[in-house]
Amino acid sequence: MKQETNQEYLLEIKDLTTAFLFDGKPVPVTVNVSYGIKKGEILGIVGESGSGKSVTVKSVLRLLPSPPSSILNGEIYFHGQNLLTLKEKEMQKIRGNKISMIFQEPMTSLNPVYTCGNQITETIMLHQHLSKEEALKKAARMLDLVGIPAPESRLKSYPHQLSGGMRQRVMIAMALSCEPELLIADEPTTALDPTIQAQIITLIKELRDSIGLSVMYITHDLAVVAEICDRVVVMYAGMVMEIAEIRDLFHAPLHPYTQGLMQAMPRINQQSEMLYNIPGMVPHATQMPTGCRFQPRCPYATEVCSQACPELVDAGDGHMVRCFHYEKLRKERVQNG
Amino acid sequence: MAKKIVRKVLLMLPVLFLVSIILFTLMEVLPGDAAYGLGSDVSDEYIQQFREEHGLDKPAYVRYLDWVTNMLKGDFGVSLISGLPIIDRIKVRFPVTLELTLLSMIVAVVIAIPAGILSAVKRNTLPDYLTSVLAMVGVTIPPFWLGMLMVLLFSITLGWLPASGYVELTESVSENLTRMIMPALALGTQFAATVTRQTRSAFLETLDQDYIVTAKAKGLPQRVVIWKHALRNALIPIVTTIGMQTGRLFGGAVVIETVFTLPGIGREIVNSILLRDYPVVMALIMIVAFIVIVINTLIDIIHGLIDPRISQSQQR
Amino acid sequence: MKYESNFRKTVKKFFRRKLAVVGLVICLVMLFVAIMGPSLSSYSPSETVVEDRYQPPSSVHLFGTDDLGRDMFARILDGARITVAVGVGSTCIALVAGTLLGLLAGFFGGVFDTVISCFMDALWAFPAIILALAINTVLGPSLLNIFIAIGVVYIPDFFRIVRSRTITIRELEYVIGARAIGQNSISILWHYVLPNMSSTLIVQTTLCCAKAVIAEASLSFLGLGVPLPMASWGSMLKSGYPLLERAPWLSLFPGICIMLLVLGLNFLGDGLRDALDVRIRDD
Repeated sequence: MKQETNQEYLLEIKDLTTAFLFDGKPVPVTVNVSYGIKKGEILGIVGESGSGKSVTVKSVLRLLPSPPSSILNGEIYFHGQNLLTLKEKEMQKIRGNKISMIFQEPMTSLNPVYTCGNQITETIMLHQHLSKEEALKKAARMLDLVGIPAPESRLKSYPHQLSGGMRQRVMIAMALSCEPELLIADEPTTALDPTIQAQIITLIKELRDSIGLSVMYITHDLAVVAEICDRVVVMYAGMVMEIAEIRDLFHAPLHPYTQGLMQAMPRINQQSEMLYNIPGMVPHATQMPTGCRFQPRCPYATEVCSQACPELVDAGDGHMVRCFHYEKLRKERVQNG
Repeated sequence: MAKKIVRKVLLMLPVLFLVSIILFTLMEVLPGDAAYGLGSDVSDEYIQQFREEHGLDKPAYVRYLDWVTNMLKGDFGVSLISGLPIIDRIKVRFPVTLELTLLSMIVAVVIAIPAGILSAVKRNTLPDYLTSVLAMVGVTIPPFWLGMLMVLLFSITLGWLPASGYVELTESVSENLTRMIMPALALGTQFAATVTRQTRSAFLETLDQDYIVTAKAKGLPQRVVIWKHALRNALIPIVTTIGMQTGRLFGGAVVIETVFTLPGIGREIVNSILLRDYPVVMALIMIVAFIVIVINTLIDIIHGLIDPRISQSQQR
Repeated sequence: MKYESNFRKTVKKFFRRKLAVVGLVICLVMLFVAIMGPSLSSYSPSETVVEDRYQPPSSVHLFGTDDLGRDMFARILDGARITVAVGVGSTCIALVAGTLLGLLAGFFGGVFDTVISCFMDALWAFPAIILALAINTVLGPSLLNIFIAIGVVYIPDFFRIVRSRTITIRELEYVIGARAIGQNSISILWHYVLPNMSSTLIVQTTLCCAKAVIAEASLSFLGLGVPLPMASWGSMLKSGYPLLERAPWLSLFPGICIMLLVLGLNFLGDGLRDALDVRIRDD
């Protein structure tokens, strides 16, 4: 199995199918998800809520409670090692150490009854076996790195004494405190206001450049993707729909869903007063349509779309797409200039 | 911190004041006073003399003030029936109730918190179902009836434990415990069941929190996640429950002491009510209420220690 | 329309929980028994038959007979009346008084709130049974007085919940809006604030009923409950206890009945809590 992994990737997800229990029966919420992230890359994972982005990355760290979740199929390779077959003890050595994660809700992601210092040093002492004093020094350096003023005194603060943006910085400091190779950011700025959002994005970009971090950046906001990502994975209803370099994706989206997402993006120079919205909603995992999962909402859908599910194919230059009609989209794009 | 505790302690005063007012008013509107208890074959003069002797003829507010100031000096008055100082009786009776309630509380907490945690962590497994069923039964079973069942089983049928009586702890520890264990269990079961249920639900709620996922994502082993990150947060509602239940424990003690004929404060209150020995009733209830208020204050202070958010907001 | 569908959803959710349905059935049966009383049995609860004293449970006397030869089953049916009446009656008193005071204190705030809250804290400081004992002694033995004695004890339970909910609701936009368009306070409380906490109150009422049943049983067991010749399950336990060795069934059946009723009320309360999706602390 090992030789099959792509050496280019730091982490590679292969055919991952994760299921949740609905009324006692396991129902897949992600189906055969495959993508990889290269070293030093910021990979965006985009999709509406309910598209399975978060489930996929939480499966990487095996953070989903089981039951109700279970992984039905797939492998996740990290340095050629399948994380899904690791023992819980070995997995603990990877979490927070080699692969870290930050979450959507900085307000609730820190434990309210312990100081920031306690929570950061806890990770450092766990993985790097430093003494309390050394860990504290390191924690202060980390807070400094993420741009928190007066780090020593902040270590003594409790989470509720900090603003949302500050808390997310603390989360990042905590996540980076053991020099992980990969940071998984699960919508880290969704709950923050726009100025703070911009600051956090800039911070993550800087950290990538300065310490060579790889980042998996989950968001539903294409504007953020455009700003920060090198490559993008577009997910819909638990499936990967398109994978492309950032330039290719924005210049020539090959999947109708991606195109819809882009039309839904507000633009400053846009004249029309109505914001485009993809009609309909993401179907529930228990009520998936036949054929292509996007077909009921797709303006390009034809009969074939409701009969079979298209494969994820290479449309050239590693631009992957799951659509029967991507050539049509490409042509239209060329015609419209 | 010290300032906060002082504030909490000061806040007890108005409540204590109101408690004393309620109690005094209740006793005041009671039909007849202690002179009734003398029976019908005593002369009117004697009743008059008795009233004067015990200050029953003074206006209510004077008697209230006398009562409160005397209590503050540690003088709870004398029993109308025996004429002996009430404080002496408190000294004898109080340790019994204290031992009973403490014992049942300790047994309950030692069992309940781990059981609740186990139930939450092993959610929807056999241990969880068993614990939940037992807790449900424990919550619904009337404590005094449980006591009766225990007597039926352990005293009458099996003959293992004495059904009643009391031996002082200083006299014989083993004799004391064989007589206290059934009352303590009977009294503590409801307490334990309630704490178990609260622990389970508090833990389930806590384990659902984002910071628990964060803790796991940091690579912390399960036991640190539970015993460090979840426990301290879950403890906040658990401590509240323990505090509220303690008051109920004293109420339950009244009935349990009657079932097992223990010479505690509860039984003394019931007897004194039946004998219309109001000074004793007032003094004893006042003491119980005082203890409950002190415990609630302690709980508030403990909350502040567990949860930094509370202590912060109170400093302002 | 919206309300209707919500109501249906709640009912569906409730009936999906087996324990909740069991609780409902127990409560309905108990209510039925309490209403029908001894007419459900061919024996009279008060008829003494000397030669039938201390009969253990049998097909003739389902629950046996007591020291006076009275049929225990008939007595239990009779006692259900008192026990259920006290449970429901005292809960009603606590519900009405606690809700009213809580609404007013929470809505108007100020000195009124401070005084009432402090008073409730003081009431809260008395252990329930001791307070009920004291009030009952003051009022004297009668069924109505038992209602009041136990009812007063549980006023703070309702008061606290209602007051804190009222304070929250008071600040909601539509209430402020209603105020702005000049609706008077009573109409706001009645139309906006009260319906908003109805589910919380329903659940609390059920659970309070269970507590009241135990409180009544305790009072009666101490001999300070309903006056003779009325007999609740609690007072049957009192008279049965000295005979525990001779006739354990006299203590067994009333106790089982109390527990069953309390269990039913708790199941019902828990079921309602889940179905109505409200959160009340277990206490």
